[in-house]
Amino acid sequence: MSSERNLKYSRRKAISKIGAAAVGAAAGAVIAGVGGYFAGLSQTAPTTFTETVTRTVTQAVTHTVTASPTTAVPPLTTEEKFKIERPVELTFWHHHAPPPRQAAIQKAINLFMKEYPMVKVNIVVVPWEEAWPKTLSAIAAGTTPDVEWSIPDLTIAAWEAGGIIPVDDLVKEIDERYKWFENTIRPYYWEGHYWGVPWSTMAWALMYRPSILKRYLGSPEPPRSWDELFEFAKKLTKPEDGVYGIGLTASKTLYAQEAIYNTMCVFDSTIFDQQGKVVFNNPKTIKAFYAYKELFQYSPPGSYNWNWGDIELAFPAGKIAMMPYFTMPQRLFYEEKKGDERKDIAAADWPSPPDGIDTNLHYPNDWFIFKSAAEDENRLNAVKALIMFCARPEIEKILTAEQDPGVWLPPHEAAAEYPGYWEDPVISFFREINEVAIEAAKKGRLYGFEWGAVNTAVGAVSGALVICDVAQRILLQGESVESAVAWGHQAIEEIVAKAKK
Amino acid sequence: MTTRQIKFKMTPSKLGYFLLLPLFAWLGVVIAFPVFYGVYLSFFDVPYGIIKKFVFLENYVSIFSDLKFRIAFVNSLIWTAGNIALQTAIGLGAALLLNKSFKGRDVGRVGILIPFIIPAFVTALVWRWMMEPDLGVFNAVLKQLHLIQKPIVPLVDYAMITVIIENTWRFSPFAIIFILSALQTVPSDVIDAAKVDGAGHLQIFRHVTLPIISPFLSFMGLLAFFWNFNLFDLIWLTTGGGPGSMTETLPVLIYRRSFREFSMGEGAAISVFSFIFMAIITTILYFLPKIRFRGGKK
Repeated sequence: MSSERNLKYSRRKAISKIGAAAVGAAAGAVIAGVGGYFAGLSQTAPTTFTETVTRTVTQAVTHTVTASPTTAVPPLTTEEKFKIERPVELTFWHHHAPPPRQAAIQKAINLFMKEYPMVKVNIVVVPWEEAWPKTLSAIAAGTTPDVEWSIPDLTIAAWEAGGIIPVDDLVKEIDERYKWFENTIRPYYWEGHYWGVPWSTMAWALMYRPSILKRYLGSPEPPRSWDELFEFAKKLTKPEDGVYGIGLTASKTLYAQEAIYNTMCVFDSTIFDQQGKVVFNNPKTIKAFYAYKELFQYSPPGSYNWNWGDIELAFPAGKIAMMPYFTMPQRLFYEEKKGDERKDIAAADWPSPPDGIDTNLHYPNDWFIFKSAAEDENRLNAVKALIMFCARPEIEKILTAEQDPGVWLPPHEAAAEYPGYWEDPVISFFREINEVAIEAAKKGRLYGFEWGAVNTAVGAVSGALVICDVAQRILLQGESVESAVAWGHQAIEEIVAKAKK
Repeated sequence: MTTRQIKFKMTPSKLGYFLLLPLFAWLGVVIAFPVFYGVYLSFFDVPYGIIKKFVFLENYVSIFSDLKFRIAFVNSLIWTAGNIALQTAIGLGAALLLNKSFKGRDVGRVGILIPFIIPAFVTALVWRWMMEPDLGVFNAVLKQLHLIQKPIVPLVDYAMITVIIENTWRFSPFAIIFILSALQTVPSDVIDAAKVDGAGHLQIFRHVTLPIISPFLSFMGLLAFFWNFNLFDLIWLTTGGGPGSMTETLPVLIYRRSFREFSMGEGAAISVFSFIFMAIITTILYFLPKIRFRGGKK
């Protein structure tokens, strides 16, 4: 007797077996990956020879700066109170995509990691358009980074979402060492605490092309008064030559919101009063929109839809003679223009009406720290050490002058007076522009944050771009200024009511 | 002597279900969960992404009494109807042309796909520049033809029709290809017979071609309805929903309400409304006898 076992497999059976095995392997890989992700969240130093070798090889291959536990930890330098006792990996989000900006930021971070070899900083670039949804989604999902660069509207939104911690100690420390510009730190104060640490500010001035002014007005000198601004804008508008007096916009963008507020602020027009009550509909706001409407007629016909890139192209191209804007694009003129054209950019103080106030828009940019970073003292200390390091004048110079000269301005006196800042090739080449910029930064204000965040719904109001809606009703849909401002007031009240529910 | 045979029976239908399992799992995670979660969120107050409290139908009451919502809904209907009409008309015309035999037909059939494969961002940027009153080609051509003296601003004065045309330019290739494939199913002997009977081109189209391809047209109309009603990217990138609310459709309003005004509960409520509205329209269109399509059978 003998027994035989016949196993019959057709091609179909083989495929189904292989398919089942593949699905099982994929599922296993997903589970392992998920498990590995959560396991990797805890940062512990390698303790075995294998782990040490793995870390060393990884370091050599990827040029990451991570300390092996067998090497001596260098002594802490200036930030002794922020004790980093174990190696830690931080995640830092910022929103500056252009390569030169990323390079400058990476340079500053590399210097930090060199001084703090136990800290590795992973940089993630999140485009501005995605900053709000990504930040709020991360807070809701519990997948936040450790620290993020921000602006007051986003900081307050993150605060409303319950995602960030106060930073009073850092603000105080930096103020004692370097002395803040008061209006730069003011927007970050609410509910009795500071919630953001400025790393720079941005200020608007009246940028102009001296050659165009000289060509049509006989002199390269800019307007020095409110009435002169309108007179110059009118005389410099030559559609037959493709030149317009001033660049303004009526789009539904953050740029438009800033441009409009830059006119509102000189009329002392605000969204909220000091108690946080909505006061948008008032005579000052109405005057401001009338002024904006009058100036807008001297802007190119297509400018109604402009965003950042559009006006930044139109100005160096000579399509507009003047623009209320950040004190840029200095790098473009420095690197790409030739001969006399290189210096064909200048800045003047943004004028104000006779019954107005001497100010302009300014926009501080800050660090904020997520609650998730505060769950571990070692991690939190590493984050604070990073922020303190970047507040040093020599590092501020990298983050401001080297990142984009004239766009990012020092947030405190020490950085503004640091000789290295003024020795930067572009900053020194356009010294007069940058002196105007620093003065503008010192007296600037920001919509909704004139007295700090008096109404925490300002993030939602800013995000809804109500000011842009008002401008579009007036400039594009022919509505009266009074009616549009009244509509805007009601819209803001509705948003505030919803946010406060 | 015994022989033992091990037979593994995997029937074709069982194999099919088994291989579809990963897809169902994926659909469950990517589609079913967000849909149900969105419905769930619509009953809560969700400022800044934080679920605060149960408000039942308050979000729905709020949106139905909001003028912006009503404007966006009407804009969505105009936008969808305009796109379907234009895309079908252009698709039909171009498909009939490309169905004929002529030199360069194959190149034409490939070339018409170009607008369809260009990313939305590039399309929006190009059209914004084309519509630019000072420098854009649109005004330049009209000036050359002496049709205008002052530049016109299409994205302000005719914003909705301009974005409809822009979107039609982008999606007509799909309609053309779809209808062209439908035209291949028209039997040539039927057309020959009609010709023998003395029918003209228009009569052949009306009485022979159109009845045969009408189920395809209806199905394409259904797809066009889904895609256009839900379209967000092109409108957002071109006009941002402006000027004012002139081009703000429901998807744009959902995005703005959820991620710019941070009122996610209301955004979810608008999404649920859109979903229910589309489900109703789909049901109506599907069960209308004339337009029912089952692989060519009526």
